[in-house]
Amino acid sequence: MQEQVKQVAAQETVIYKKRRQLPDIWHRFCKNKRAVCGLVIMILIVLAGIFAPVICQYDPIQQNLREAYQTPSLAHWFGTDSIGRDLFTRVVYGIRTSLLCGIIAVTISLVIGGTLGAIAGYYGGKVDNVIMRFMDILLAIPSLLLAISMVAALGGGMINMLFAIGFSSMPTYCRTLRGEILKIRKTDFVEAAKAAGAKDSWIIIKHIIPNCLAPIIVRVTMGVASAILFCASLSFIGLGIAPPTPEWGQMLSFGRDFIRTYPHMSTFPGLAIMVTVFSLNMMGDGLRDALDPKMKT
Amino acid sequence: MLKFIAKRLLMMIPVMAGVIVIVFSMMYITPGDPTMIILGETSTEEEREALREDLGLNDGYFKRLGDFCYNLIFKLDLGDSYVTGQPVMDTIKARLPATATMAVVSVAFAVILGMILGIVSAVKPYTLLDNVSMTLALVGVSMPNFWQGLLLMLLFSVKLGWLPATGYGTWKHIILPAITVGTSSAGIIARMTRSSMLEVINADYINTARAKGQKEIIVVIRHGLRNALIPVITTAGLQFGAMLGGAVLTETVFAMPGLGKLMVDSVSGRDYTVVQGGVLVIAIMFSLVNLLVDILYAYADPRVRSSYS
Repeated sequence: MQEQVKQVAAQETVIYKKRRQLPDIWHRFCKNKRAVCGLVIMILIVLAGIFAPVICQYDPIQQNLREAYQTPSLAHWFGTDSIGRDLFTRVVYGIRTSLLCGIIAVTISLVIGGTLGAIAGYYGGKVDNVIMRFMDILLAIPSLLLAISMVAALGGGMINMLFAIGFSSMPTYCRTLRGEILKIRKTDFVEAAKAAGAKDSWIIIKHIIPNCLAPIIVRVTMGVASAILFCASLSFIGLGIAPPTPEWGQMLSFGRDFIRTYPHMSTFPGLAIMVTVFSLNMMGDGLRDALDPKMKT
Repeated sequence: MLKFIAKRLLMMIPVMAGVIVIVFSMMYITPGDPTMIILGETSTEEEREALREDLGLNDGYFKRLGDFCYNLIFKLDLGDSYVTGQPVMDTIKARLPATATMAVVSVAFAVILGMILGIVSAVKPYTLLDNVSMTLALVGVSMPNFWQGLLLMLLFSVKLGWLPATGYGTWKHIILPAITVGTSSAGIIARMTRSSMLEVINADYINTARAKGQKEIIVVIRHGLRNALIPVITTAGLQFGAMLGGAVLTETVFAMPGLGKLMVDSVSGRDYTVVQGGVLVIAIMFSLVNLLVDILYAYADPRVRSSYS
């Protein structure tokens, strides 16, 4: 009997939540013009990345020395680079590299940092102390520098770079999750669930995780933005993605040698990074306001 | 107050010990034979083995870590560079002034610009002015600083010829790199100032001040900003670390002989003792700045001050 009541109650909360929250969130999100603008640009960017072979008529890697050093024209919208590759094609294919890198790096930090943060927050005491002191140590080294020295230790290449970025930005995720869990653990509804005899696993899945989601979604959106910046930075100094794979930071570093004579070679990859990071940040801002009006920066 | 400073200094020790262990371990697991870098490809195996023995590279992890800590703490010695043979400490000392000057100038730039933008938006929230300055702040945050550096260089050095493009020496060399490094922090500080100001701007004491007939500027600065300042100070301190990281890219772009460029050059030259030393010195600088921020924080917030007196 008690079991049934609990189930019905749980179902009702789920339905109630679904009915009320999502449209509310969406409504609040849509009221923020900048956030909608960011979302639209991001959708366009993702679509361009997926349909890159359809949009672009050139090969992103194939050299074509006869067409080298061309300024933007109808045939080459963004011009060509010093070995004749179409820059528009490379910028569009670069979306795939950058977004993929951003998402993978954030996943790594979320999985490692988030798990550690959750453990620290849930168990508290000594475990919490050890984990958080470790995070303090990592935070004492500026994250870009930590990433650079990790790449130096592990060697270059995409996987090592992603791991380095993920590892060095892990403390923020750890702190966010720990803080959220600490807050939720003390709430009345968790107490109530405990008093009603709910198991730990039920509390974690039904009460703690859904309530942590909002700050995590916001953190991840902005995290992808900063991971893309990191990835471009490392590639710019030659420690990230190696040529000929199209990657914006690396294209910028390539165009840097021709900045006086052919500024278009660095302008377009730079713009691509900025627009992507900017729209992700605008989306993140909007999501933060929409998901939890009380939440602050 | 002294008690507070002493406590914070003591708390720094375990963190620094941790940083030393992590940085050392990272360089320890680095693949590659340092003796090959020092002696070159043409050296014989015997020569390399002798050097390995001489440098203590054949010792175990804990012995080497112990030696490293001993030399660092008692002799302030970070070892010798694999490539140049110079003591790492001397190399870092030579490179430090450029980075430190740039960091200080860029913090000043970021704090001034960020606070002005933030205050302007908070005073007139949800207006065009607010929207424009917050969009600008977000552009600053989103702009890759190496690209911004290139653009500034193109405009002010190549087109206008006002400032030198690369190098180091006069105050003119500092301006462009400092702006480049400071821009994203200015954006973050602006956003922080705005949200922190918005929180206090509707407080009762602000209304009281206005009701007394106080001038608006004094209300905003003395009553509003002073109370909104604490999160801003914390953010500015944390941004200092981001600037030291960003210096790596900016110094590369502007060919500035600072610590950041040293790090990049050493990573590509596989000069690991220099990388190790550089990361350590930067971490110590960052922690000291954070300590300073905490002291300022205690100074600005009577609640923190009173809990230690």
